[in-house]
Amino acid sequence: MPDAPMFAARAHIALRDIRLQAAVRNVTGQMVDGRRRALTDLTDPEGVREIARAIRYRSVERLPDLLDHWATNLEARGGQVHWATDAGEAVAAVRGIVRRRGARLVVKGKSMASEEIHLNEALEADGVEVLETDLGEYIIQLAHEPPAHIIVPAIHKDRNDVAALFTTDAGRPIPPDIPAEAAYARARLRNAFLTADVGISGVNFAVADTGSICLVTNEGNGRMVSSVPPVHIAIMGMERIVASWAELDVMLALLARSATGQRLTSYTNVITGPRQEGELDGPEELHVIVLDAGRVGILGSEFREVLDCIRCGACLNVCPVYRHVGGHAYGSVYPGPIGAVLTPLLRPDESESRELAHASSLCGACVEVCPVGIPLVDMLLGLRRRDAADIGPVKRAGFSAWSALWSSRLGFASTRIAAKAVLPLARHARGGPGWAGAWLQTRTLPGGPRRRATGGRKGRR
Amino acid sequence: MTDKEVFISRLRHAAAVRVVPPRRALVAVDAVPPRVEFAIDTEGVDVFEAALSAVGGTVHRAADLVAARAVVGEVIGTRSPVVLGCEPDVAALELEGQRWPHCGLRAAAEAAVTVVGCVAMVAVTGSVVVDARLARGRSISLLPPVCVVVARSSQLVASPGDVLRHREDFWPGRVPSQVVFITGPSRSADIEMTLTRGVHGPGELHVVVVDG
Repeated sequence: MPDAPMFAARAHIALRDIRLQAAVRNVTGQMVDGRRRALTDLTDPEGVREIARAIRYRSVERLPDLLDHWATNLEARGGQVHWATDAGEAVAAVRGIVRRRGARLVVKGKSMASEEIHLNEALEADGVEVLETDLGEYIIQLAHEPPAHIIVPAIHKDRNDVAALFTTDAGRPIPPDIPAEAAYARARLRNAFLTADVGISGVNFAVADTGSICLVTNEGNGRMVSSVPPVHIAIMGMERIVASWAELDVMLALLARSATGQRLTSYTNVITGPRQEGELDGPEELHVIVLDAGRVGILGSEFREVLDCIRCGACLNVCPVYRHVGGHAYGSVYPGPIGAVLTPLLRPDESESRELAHASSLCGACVEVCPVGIPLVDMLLGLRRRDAADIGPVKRAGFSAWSALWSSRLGFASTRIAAKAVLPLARHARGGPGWAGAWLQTRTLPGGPRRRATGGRKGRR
Repeated sequence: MTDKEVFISRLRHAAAVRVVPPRRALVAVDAVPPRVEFAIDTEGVDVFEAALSAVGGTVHRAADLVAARAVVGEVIGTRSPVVLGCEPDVAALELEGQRWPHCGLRAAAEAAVTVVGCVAMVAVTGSVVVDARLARGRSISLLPPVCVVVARSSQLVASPGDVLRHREDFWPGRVPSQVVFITGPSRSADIEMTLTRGVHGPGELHVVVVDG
């Protein structure tokens, strides 16, 4: 672990937050149950997952061709594609459109990719008002916080928190009653949809054979931002593509089931271009920003399967670490197991992001539920291995000595005897200075064997 | 080189640097992947009704358009204003209300109830499929708090794949700019995972299934 364990510091705060603990447990528990139930709809869920995995793998393998084909088809429908190699270019593309349109108000649907590029801050610096319209995103925007879960951004806020935020926003009392809070958000944001100059959304899937983008939402804000304002801008991680509507069918059979336990979300929206000739509403302009921002470095690496991810969030919900510390402890756009892998890969130069690979017990629950079979545990180990390449000569020598010692039977036995003597004392080092104290902070040592094992036979009976 | 060419050539180069095989063998999948098979019933209006009811929508049955008119009238009740979609089956109900698209976006935004047609119903998911083709529009089925969809029992298909994999049957030549699978009312569980309906889209969704 790095010497300044930022994750550990944030995790500590989270672990003391009893309300956060209860909220995360409640939400993730419901989602885990929902997913399990929903997958029983399928005759052969494992088979469908294997097919989905093959589809995603092949899509990433053919990414250059698929993107080319998709863009050609989208342009033929009047859509415009902007190619952004980094966050700066993506932000510049959006700002350019917003400026050209003289836009004052931008309404946003949920988009993790836009969080990656810190779009809101950039637009606000230009004097543009940016409103998040997903209920959870609106709540955390008012709280000036980042999302705490891919699917449920305000997972850590309860109705009292929301009432306080909405009361300030409204300038009149909004009661801590969920229907009243939702009604306030609906009314507040409705006028924004109708008067906004630009709508911004994410993209769940691009579909190459028609140049389409697919948006999956429950509240309807994704339909609003893509239908009502005169300009729709969609921001898409470059790997989010499938070849055909038949492949989309397979992915959709798994996405909502894995994410929320729904068969489909309330609105599964396939958009193919801006308003077409003869159509009577819809945006005049459709722009899709294709975002690389560090993905290209993953493409030819041993981690390339992480690009198969469809952002369902199932790995968060089953992760014992995520379930204890919630999303903010990760300090990254993508939390949980997928975030622990993706973040250090997208931001290889940030030492803080590299410690996330250690925020895992390697239990493998994430791999069990991943709809596209991403080997997250192997990848976490791969990242740790990569980091271990520069641990410094002292630690390296120490681990070499340990390895040599345990390679012999006698050496191993001697450490057992030593452990018996030292373990009870070592527990007192918890919270103490140095790396031993830090290591022990999150680990419980066994007291050493109390009596000699008596063999398996007795217990059998 | 254009931005596109630069971007894509970078990808080609990166992917070619080192070809990494998948950690586990992939199953062989044809260009058209196999259909998704369901362990649950996929046939009949009853299945559709059960699926839609489970997500908070309401299904009404009508033997013919006369019966449908009565059902829709009952759903509308005293609520007004009403905006009516341009599909022939909606027009045939001869309801009182403003006509889309002539009424304009503002009228749709201020309507209490909207009545529209659909492209298909999906049994397994309880979805209705609407599209933005010509005068149908993107917003009319979205803005009002109550949405009534008039469908024909012959429009029922088993699963989403029966629409997605048969695009040409529904939209020969080219797809409309928007195709939406509507599966129940607008919903959110963003506060304490407590289900709330009608956050942005309609909080009530009624599907009137007319025989034939």
